[in-house]
Amino acid sequence: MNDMQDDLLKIKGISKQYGVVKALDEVSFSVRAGEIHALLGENGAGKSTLVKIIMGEERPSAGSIELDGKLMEEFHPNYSRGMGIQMVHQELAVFENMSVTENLFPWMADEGAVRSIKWEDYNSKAQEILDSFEFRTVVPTQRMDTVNLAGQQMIEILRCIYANPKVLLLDEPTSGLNNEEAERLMLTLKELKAKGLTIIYISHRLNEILDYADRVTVMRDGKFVCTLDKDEMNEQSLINNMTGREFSSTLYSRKTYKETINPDIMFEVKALSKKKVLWSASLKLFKGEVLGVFGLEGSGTDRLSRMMYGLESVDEADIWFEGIKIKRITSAEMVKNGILYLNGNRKYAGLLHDSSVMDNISLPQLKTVSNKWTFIQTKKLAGITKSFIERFSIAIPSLKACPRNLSGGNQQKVMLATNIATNPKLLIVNEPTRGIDVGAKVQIHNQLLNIASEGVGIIVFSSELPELLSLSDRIIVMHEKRINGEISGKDMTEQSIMRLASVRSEEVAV
Amino acid sequence: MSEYTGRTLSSDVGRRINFSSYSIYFLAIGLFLFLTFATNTFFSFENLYSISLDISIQFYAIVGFTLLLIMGEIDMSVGSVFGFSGALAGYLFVKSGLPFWIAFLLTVLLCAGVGLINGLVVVKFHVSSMMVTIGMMTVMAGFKAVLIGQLSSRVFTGDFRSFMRMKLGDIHWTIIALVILIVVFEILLLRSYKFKVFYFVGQNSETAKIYGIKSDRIRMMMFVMSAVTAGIGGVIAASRVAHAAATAGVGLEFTMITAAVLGGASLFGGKGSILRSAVGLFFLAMVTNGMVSFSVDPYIQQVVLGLILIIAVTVDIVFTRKSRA
Amino acid sequence: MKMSGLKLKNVIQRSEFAVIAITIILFVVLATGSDIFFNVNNLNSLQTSIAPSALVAFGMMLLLILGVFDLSVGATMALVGISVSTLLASGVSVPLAVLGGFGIGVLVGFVNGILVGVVGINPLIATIGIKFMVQGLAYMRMSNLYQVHPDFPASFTILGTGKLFGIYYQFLFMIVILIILSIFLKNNGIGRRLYYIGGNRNASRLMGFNSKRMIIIIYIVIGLLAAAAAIFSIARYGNANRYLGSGIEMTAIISCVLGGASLSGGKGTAMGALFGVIFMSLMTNFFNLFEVSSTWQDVVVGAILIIVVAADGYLTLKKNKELGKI
Repeated sequence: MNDMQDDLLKIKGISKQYGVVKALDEVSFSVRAGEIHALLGENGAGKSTLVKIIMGEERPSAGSIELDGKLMEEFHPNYSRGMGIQMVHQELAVFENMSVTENLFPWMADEGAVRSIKWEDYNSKAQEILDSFEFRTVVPTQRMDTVNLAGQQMIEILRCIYANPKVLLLDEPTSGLNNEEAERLMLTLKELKAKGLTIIYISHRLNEILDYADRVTVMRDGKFVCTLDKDEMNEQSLINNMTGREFSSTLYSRKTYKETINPDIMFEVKALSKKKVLWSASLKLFKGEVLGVFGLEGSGTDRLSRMMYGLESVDEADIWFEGIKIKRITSAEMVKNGILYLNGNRKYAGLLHDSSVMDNISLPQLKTVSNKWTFIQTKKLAGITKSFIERFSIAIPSLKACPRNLSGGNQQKVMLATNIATNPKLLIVNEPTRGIDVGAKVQIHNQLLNIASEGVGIIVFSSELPELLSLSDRIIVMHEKRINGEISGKDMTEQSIMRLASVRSEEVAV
Repeated sequence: MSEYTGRTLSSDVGRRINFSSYSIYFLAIGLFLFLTFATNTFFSFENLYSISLDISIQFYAIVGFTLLLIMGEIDMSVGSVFGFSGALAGYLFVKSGLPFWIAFLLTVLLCAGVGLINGLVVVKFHVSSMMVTIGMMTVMAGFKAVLIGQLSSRVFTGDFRSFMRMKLGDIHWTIIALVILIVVFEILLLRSYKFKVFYFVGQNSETAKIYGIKSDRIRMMMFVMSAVTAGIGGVIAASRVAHAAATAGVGLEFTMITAAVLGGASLFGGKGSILRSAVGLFFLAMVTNGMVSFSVDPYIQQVVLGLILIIAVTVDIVFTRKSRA
Repeated sequence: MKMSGLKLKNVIQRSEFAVIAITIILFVVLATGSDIFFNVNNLNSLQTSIAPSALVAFGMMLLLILGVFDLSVGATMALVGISVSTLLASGVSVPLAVLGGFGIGVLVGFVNGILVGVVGINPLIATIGIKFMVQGLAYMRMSNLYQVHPDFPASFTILGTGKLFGIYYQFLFMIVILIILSIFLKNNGIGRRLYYIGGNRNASRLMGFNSKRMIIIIYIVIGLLAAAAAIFSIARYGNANRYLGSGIEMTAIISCVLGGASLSGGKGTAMGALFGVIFMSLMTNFFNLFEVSSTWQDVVVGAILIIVVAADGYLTLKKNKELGKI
């Protein structure tokens, strides 16, 4: 091992208890000065909790942290910041009601209570920062709510970088950025590293870690697993350590797509468009197939999925299902037709977090589980719920348990079960496995393929290419708010899809 | 995920408010027992009956108010709609000479329209229900004053006056209706999917929408409901005093909030029940009644009520925090 | 934050633009349509109705920027008014009595601040509870006093009636507070912090801002401003009655919202609050001078409030739609 004196940040036996749940269990490792240190682990492994503790946003139940040989005595964001630590949050910490400048310098009040703020100075300083990053789409006086999501994320990152920290913590900073922006960020981090900044970096993108990290610490179930040096890092070793299983690359085994496609159309969207959001988009789903829709961040996939399900207004669209035109594009009409939607963000919607799993399962089929007096038949509902808990192997203490207290993977399974329990004819799924662990991912993929084989139509919107390749028979690719092309059969390769997703094709297919 | 359209909560202050479901029963029973043993006057048929009669009038207003709270919305205009409806029904009865039942019906319809405006503005424009209904509160207080000015303290006679005085056997119909409504609502809210869905919409209207529930329509309906029940209560109250009182419904919104929150409703929606809100009203009535029998200065009653509200909510928050830590 | 305020578009987009515009229109209507609008008596009564209301509205505006509000402010005024007049009647010196009044304001504000900021009770519930309590205490004192009109010492009365160049001291005081607050909110780090906290409470926590302390302080500030408003009012009218401050919490909130604030926090200016108050006072004046039954005033004010709130919501929706956010 290396000389311990190189270590800038020492994490010593940190534990964190939430009620009965142990989020962190005596985690110890150290981070060297001037390195990019990646933190890797499945969801719920405790990475986020750990960086929050370093940032002082959470207090550990036990353990201590040393920075530069000095014990951190307090756990408060102000203390950590005073020690030279900054953090980019996974969920944006921006102020939409304020200017870009004010988002870049939120601590100007600390410079003296009675001092008057010199806006000119701050604005020109902000302009310099934006220039230095070639971030030209925003101006310092612009209000933050007029900046798009990626821009907001960029501004949060710049805020932290230019606060001149010793240690920079980043919790999945590239999740909201497109590839180009993510790459620019990684290069900036590399430059900052060269200037002596120490970076701790959480990411799920293995490629990023392999390309840019000097070392990686893997965590699992709140415990430290190992720290790997650059020469020990490869995709296999990382996955194995994350899961604790020898996971062969069968995780994303390529689906044996259907060679011949049934020519009967099950579901068709004709010329769906909305100003500034989506150009006229049309797509067809043939009977018995799984259609994938791929697009990079900001390409409009998420919005398309919501609009064709009636969750967002459209300027115009025609939607046909089983040969009949759907009169009004509303979610109520869709559910009536046996079309359901797996929401892309379970935290925000798609689950009733404070109602029992039973209530959740009942929600889309209230009428079915009730008798003619509109009374809910509890026994019938419990039976359905139980069968789905077994079928999805959902780990819950009782039928009365609420999703809020479940892990991400189990929440996602409850959400999918809620959809499938209605015996849908068509399922539109948006990011079916976002932010869940590998084991749950595989289970969800299997469930989807299962119902597809029973004849349920499935349209999968996903930003994970391997996932789409393992699920779809045909893939539609979006680029800059329009459908850019379609690939099926043996042409479906990561390269071909990525090319369609990042380059505007002239002849628009479909 | 700012691109989602759902309403975001401005602050997390008060998010934890959740007066535990059963506390109100213990509070009410405790106070009931205390007053029974500590005073000679409380536990008598006449006294309990008069408390029940008082509650049975405000109760109508709290039905819709609670349903709206379950949606996570609030109706500050409940008090002035209450006062307005009494005055309007009286105006239609006395000045326009309409039969009482027609006047009553028209009044309730107009209140429904008022609720619909509240609902449309809140739901369509995604704005704070508190702000909109404060506006409506002011508007309706104005209309109420105009009508009262027109009526120049005319006494309501005939059908109007006898409306509230109708009895079934020896009991005022309002009390019987109160009991029936409580039982029916309690059963429906617990068991019937048409009602249980209110809790789902209140908890997360976007989730309900994803699963095919017409969340917006339900939310709007509850605004209508709130105004309608306030209107019905207002007419009953006017029938009781037999004239349009300037004080009718003044400050009622505060009583409603106190009772409903004591009864476990939360300003963030998804919680509450008609039964528990009614018990909340009963509790408040007992406090007043008890203090009168101890001849406590009526103004101290206010102090005590404020104190109860704050202590109840504080205890609940501390309790919830402890159980989560 | 360059002063690009001269551009018409920017002026119109400012949230307080609407209220300033309709206030000016109302002013013109009154000035041209009524002979007695510029009458000294009328201007005097306008000043003394605007000044205390504006003081309370300033406090409410600060709270609204933080994303909270105070329904107990009217009750606080009543309690302060009654307490100060009791103190004066029992021979306490003017400075001490005034100090006592401010002490009550601070105390009520502090309790509100603790309940909302530290305990975490929703401001609606917390301040209604406090309103009940403070009101009860005030009326209790009132019933003991029972319509006694104390003879205030001249050195106290001057606070309410004294003028400088035809302008009441209280109005000047209000203007001073306006200037201080405007600078504080625009160019002071702590003032800006109100907007950070009101705009995004969670992010503020992550930035290490102490929102609890800020909430307590601002509730104390509104307590102080309410005390000042009460003292000016009783000094002007020579007595404290139970209607002092009654309903002012709603008028203040309405004025602030008309002046560009929002219940969800993060926006509003002191100038907006002032124009909201001026608008409301001119409305009253309008109904008086044109001899329209004042009962219609509530109808108009309420309708305007609903329209303003709805328009604000509509414009926000439209903006988000144009940005392609929804």
